[in-house]
Amino acid sequence: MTGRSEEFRAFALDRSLRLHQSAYLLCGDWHLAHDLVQDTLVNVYRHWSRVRQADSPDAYVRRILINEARDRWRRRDKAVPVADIAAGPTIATVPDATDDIARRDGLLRALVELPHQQRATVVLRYLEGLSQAETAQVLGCSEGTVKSQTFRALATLRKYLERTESRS
Amino acid sequence: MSSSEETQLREDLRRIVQADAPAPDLDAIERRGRREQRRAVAFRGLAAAGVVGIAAVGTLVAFRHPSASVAAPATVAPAKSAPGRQATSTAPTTAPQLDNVAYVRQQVDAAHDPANSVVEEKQSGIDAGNPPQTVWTDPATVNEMMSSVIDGGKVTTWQHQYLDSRRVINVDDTQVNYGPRTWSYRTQNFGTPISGPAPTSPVNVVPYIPAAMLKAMLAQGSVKIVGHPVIDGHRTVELSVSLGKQGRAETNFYYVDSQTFQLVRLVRVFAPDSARPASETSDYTWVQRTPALTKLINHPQIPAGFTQVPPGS
Repeated sequence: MTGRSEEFRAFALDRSLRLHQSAYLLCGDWHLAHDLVQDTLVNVYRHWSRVRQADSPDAYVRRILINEARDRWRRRDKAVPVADIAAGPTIATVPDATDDIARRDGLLRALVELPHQQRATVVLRYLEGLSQAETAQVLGCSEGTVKSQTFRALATLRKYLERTESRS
Repeated sequence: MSSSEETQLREDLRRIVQADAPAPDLDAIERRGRREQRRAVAFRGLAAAGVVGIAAVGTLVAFRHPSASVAAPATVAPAKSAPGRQATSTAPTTAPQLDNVAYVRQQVDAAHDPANSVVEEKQSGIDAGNPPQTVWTDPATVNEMMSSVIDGGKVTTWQHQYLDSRRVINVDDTQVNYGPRTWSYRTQNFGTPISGPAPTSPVNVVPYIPAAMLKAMLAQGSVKIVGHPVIDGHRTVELSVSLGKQGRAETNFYYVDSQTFQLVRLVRVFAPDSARPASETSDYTWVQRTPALTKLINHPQIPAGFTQVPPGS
């Protein structure tokens, strides 16, 4: 095994779980997420010298992942872009243990239906824990755009963040 | 949005993605990466040869026709592209054998292996006039949790099946009714021990879950491939099988995703019978088995303050 290969493998294994998690929130299906991560890592392998020399290899890889997800999103009419998530159970007005599952099911469904840039913004800010500036760097846009995209996304997702206990 | 909602969102996203991700197939990734690199190099070589060829023709034309004042440029600057924008071919090199029952059987078997860390989520009652119901089944235990709305109130039922020490199948039903805030529990057994060799897994005990039925019928060779319709954006393989006789006859149409080979829809078409609708459709989704979800399916949850009532009341 070459030095390049060893370095790449160590990097890929280290980032794999995080990439799968982000990919899942971007497409809503573990199988598609796995495909997205595979495609992303193929790209990382092809451009390994550029990735390892980048100021932030992680930002570079996140950008590849988000571009891959966006390309699939754009091809959605021709292929299978994002998962078709079935409607979740009705949320009861009385608290019970199934409500949180159903609420998160609804949250994932709403997240997958957000416009791509809003979805990517939510994933980077709230799953990856990036700052506005870091998110702007990954998405190649201004901090103001990140702020407005975050605001719009959260306005859509707000109703899925109300815990049942607080409503009863 | 308040910071408490942002905290809630962070926590929810963390829980949604809480699962073991499969390890990437690094050998396959490296092979594909090298192949695509070679293709890119070959493509650039062809493009360069084309440009040189055009330039040569241009030069020749210019030489033979002095009126032609400007020759074509000999080189073209390569276009810059953002990371991740390079085209990657994801098309399989060989077409899946979607008309081959043996191939489909093999893929369906692998996709519905109870060892897979997935949970089946079924939406039923879609066209049967019954209240819509969502059923989660843990393929590893074949325990079910059903949720529906009856008379405006949510009802959740857990159905757990197991063999006791006498090899008798027992079925426990726990039902929570959120309208009147009551719950009930009932256990039934099938009376006589099951015969034959000892089952090796819960799926062997309770083989009538649709995916297991499909696997069994594929193994028997009684299933035909009848088409490849697209359902909700998924290309599927449509399989049909005829069951029962005369008045109780029914034909089942199974639709499995042509990429994952997981069951996505079951349509049961019944022979004319006043007691039943003409058909019944159930849609299936396969969700990641998370600790929270499996705990919920396999352990009935009675909310505090609910009153126990006799079953059926």
